[in-house]
Amino acid sequence: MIYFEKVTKEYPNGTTALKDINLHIKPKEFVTIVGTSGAGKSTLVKCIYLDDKPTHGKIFVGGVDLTNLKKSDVPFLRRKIGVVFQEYKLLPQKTIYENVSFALEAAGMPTKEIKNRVPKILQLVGLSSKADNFPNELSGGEQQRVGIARAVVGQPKILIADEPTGNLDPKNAWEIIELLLKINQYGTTVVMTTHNREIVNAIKKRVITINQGRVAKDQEVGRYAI
Amino acid sequence: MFLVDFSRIIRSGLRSFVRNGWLTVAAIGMMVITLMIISFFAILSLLIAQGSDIVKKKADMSIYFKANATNEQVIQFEDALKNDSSVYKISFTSSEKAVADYREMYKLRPKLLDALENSGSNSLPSSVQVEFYDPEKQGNIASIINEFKTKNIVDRPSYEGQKKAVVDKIVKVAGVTKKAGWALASVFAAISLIIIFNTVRLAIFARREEIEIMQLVGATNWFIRGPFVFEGAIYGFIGTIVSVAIMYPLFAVFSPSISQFFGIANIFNFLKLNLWSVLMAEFLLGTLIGILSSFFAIRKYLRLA
Repeated sequence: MIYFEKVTKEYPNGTTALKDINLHIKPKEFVTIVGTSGAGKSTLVKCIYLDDKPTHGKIFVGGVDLTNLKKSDVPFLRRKIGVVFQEYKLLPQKTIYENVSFALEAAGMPTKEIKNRVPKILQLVGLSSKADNFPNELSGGEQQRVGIARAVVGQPKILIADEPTGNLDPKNAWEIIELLLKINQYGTTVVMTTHNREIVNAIKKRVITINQGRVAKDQEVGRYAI
Repeated sequence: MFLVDFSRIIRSGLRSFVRNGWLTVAAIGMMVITLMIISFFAILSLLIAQGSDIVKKKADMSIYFKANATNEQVIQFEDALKNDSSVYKISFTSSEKAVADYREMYKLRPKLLDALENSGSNSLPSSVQVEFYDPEKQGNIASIINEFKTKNIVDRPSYEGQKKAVVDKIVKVAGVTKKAGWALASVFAAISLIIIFNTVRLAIFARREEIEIMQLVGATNWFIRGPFVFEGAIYGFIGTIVSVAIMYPLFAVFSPSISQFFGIANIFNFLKLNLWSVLMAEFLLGTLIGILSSFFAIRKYLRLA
């Protein structure tokens, strides 16, 4: 599903975020990427949803070579990848319902289909009653659940979650993780970066440890060890 | 497909217009001020242009005939003038008419009427009035007058010496003022355009993160830009309505005294007669400013990483 071939990312200021990364993430996998701050976790996942570009090497997502992608094709690739962000990144001027429906509208989905899907997904994340509220009226955990709803409403094959629990208390963090596991069970490939040792150790999934831009460890049932 | 996107863009633009609150009010306020400044200076320039044309027209010339000039000679002189390409119009004032005009003009000042009676002749010379297309260009008039002066048919023209110097100066000032009016209008229009562009830019800057989020969830650039541009168009539309609503009564009140002062046609009547074209012009201008401002202001934030 996702291939990294000798991927290196150097920033113009000389820092090297990724060095010679080789990775293969299979369909329907749940992969956790761990590492200290600045190890390159975020850069790695950003390269998958094209928020960043490697300086060397190739990345394939669903058979598409991202390094050769035209700028005008970027939005279409992004519609196939759901992304959940640490800081939620909800649209502050849109209601919860509109936040979730926006991605579908942007993708040109028929209105009827949108009206069918959005309430269902809001129910899945337990926010049906908040559909007409604005993001700033919700708690952090609720906002992140909206983020997840938005990411998966388009039924993407891949879900990227960049430190989805970074701003949440343990209880809310677990609710988010459980949601992600559930989505994974439905057949979506999930790639999550995290700092949370307890969560990594508890879910017993594949763990890739990044250290100074390199893959330090890659274990099928991994533990958080840095 | 296109219609669905279009209606989504329109709805999204309307929604954010309503939800933006103070930013919307500020942007519309700027739009109103911009449109009023541009309209005000456009009208001012129009007034000055008209005013200076009228001053120029008034700079006509009177040439007095000698008392012994015959009708034939008068016609001969008039023909000579008419044939000069710089002459717009000539009109003859007979001696009797000159006296009547004089009586009419000074009927409230009997002493001046007495002066006419007491001069013995009880008459004024007949004359011909010459209007030029452009008082600064008088062709061969001076030599024609000189020719007939030596034949002892006409006297000196009124438009000579000191009087000519004054009229020339007025004409010159009017010309400069006209140019200055247009220059001023353009400068103010440019300044207000820059201000409105900056206001829209600030409004979009405040929402740059939204633009980034929309890109990250897979919206194409024009789907993101659409609502902003439509919002800009609404600023222009409402700005037009408000500015006209302010200016219309102002002109209704002040226009008569202004026209009297400048001695020109009533602007309000002009406005009333052309209300729809003025509205359309303002609407087009306002909407265009709004659309272009949004379009260019958002461009910066649409560049992909």
